Amino acid sequence: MSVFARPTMNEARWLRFSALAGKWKRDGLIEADELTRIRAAPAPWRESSVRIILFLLTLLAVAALYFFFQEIGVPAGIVTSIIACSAAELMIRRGRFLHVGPEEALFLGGLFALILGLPGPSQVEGLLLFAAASFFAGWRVLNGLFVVAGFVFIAAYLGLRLESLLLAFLFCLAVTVFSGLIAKRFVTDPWINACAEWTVLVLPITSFFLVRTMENDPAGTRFQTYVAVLALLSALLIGSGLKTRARFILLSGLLLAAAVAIQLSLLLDARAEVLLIAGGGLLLAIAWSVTRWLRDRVTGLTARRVGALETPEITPFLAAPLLHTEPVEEPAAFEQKGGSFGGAGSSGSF
Amino acid sequence: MLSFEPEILEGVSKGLLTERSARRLLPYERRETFSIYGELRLATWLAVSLLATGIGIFVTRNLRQTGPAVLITVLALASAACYAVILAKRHAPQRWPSSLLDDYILLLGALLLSANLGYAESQYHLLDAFWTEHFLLLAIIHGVSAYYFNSRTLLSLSLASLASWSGFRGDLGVGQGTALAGRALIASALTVLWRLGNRAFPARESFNPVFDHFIVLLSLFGALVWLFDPRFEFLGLLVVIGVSVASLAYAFKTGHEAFAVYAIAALFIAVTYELIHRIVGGNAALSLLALLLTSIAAVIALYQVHRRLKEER
Repeated sequence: MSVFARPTMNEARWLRFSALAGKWKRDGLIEADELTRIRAAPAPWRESSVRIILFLLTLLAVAALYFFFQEIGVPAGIVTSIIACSAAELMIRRGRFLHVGPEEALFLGGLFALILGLPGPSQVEGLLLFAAASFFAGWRVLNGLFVVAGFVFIAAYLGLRLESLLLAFLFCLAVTVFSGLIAKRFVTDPWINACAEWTVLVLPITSFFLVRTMENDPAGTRFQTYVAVLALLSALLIGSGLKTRARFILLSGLLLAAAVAIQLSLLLDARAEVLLIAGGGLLLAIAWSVTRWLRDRVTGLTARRVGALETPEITPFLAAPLLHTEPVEEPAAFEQKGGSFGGAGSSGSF
Repeated sequence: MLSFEPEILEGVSKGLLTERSARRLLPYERRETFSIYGELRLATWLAVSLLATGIGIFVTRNLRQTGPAVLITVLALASAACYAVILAKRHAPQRWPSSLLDDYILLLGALLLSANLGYAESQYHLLDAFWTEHFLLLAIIHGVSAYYFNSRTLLSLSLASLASWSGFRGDLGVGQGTALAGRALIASALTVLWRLGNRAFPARESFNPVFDHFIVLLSLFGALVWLFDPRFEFLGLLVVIGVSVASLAYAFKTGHEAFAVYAIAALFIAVTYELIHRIVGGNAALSLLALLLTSIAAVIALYQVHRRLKEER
């Protein structure tokens, strides 16, 4: 075993696949017995569907531990860090925890406690330490969101320490574009994919809030230029998301477009209720138009619910690609297990 | 983007998935089919929320300029139009096929109706001292609509109106906590009765989870408010324990993890509060230690329950 126990890429993929099977069952894409069979397959790592709650409760415990040590006069940062990170390692190595929640909170909380416990006055450079801690924790527990937090800390550092909105803004844009290039391609590693997707989702909106916070004159040319660049970026993200069918890129573009639209609407100097009604009406009209436009589509971009697409017309079309990509192993398995005639789940005498 | 095409094909070869399921899954994994159903639903919900909020503010700000009669008429017409669209779609599905927007158009109509009825009552005092009865009227209207249109969204709105009628949304002033808790528990008891009555409508069995969530959340809220009142602390603790145990049992019976989460979260709050206020007193270090221990206990309990539920599934 390596110094840092980690799942192999295949193990991480299988874990994700197994978790997705639950969603597929809810969407009616697979049957209950198939889900049972997938979940019955031996899983080398454990994950949890109550991850967020376990994460928050554990983070609360780490905070209580830190302040408890501080209260009794023990060096809180270093002791909490040792206890929390050791417990996280134990969970990962012995318990084979991956995305369960507690191990993530312990690792991140432990590192943050170490930084918070450092002697001396608080300095902006501390943001870089938090960034490094986030990156390390993200890599250790394979959490993409922690990595994004690291980027946000760096952007905040650039904005605060160098007092340069432009630099922070460009940093966010550059990381977004780089992550977008990864996110729009098919990648095999779930962690790299998660990092890229979360970065694409979070950093554009972070850059928007940076502009709102640091640029004092909302009517000024500089502010408008930033908003115009963000509007352009949102259009690019929406276009790219639709073209490559990458959901996170699309969502990021939509989120940024909403933020830019709200910002622009504030320039109109209209009353709040007028803006709300106009915005709601516009959004409803857009949703209605898109739904109508995609109403009859069953392939490609569609407005139909996932799982509601299996129609007699589409089944032959869907069957074709499967035949071209027959599994490498045991190609004759279906004949051995199936019925005497038919197929695709309708075999006779099965 | 991740694609689980290799795992799906491997699953078929290992007999975990059928060929039929693989045919359903592969177009999504290959991005040959890309559904934006969820995004459109979210956009529609957001649009309805914006419209309802905007109209609410508009009504409040324009009382003097337009007069109540005009506003009430306009809101009634808008609400009726929403209901009419859905009724038309229901009666002539060939001509107007249903779409994902329907549920939210219905919600908009119901929200406009609620706002209009509340506004009319505030202007004309039709029910005078019994003005809170208009919540009951709304609960009935939304409830009947929920059954007619088979809409869980309207059912939630109806249950919220019922909770308001029982006084759950009373003033949160000093000394009001105990009464608030009692009213929350009354609303919960009424929801239990309604859920029992729902047995007469087998076609609306899908409503049961909505009732269950309301019952447990209202009960736990009421019990926790009692717990924080020194006069009812013991009773509150008993109710929290009782409802939590029932909620846990229900989670194991149905496999719905959310009820286990509600139970453990409520027990965590109750036990931490009791430990800090009853046993530890004002000692900060011991209070933090108590919080640490209860947090760890809650994490372990939730994880164990989660594992057991997973095994049972």
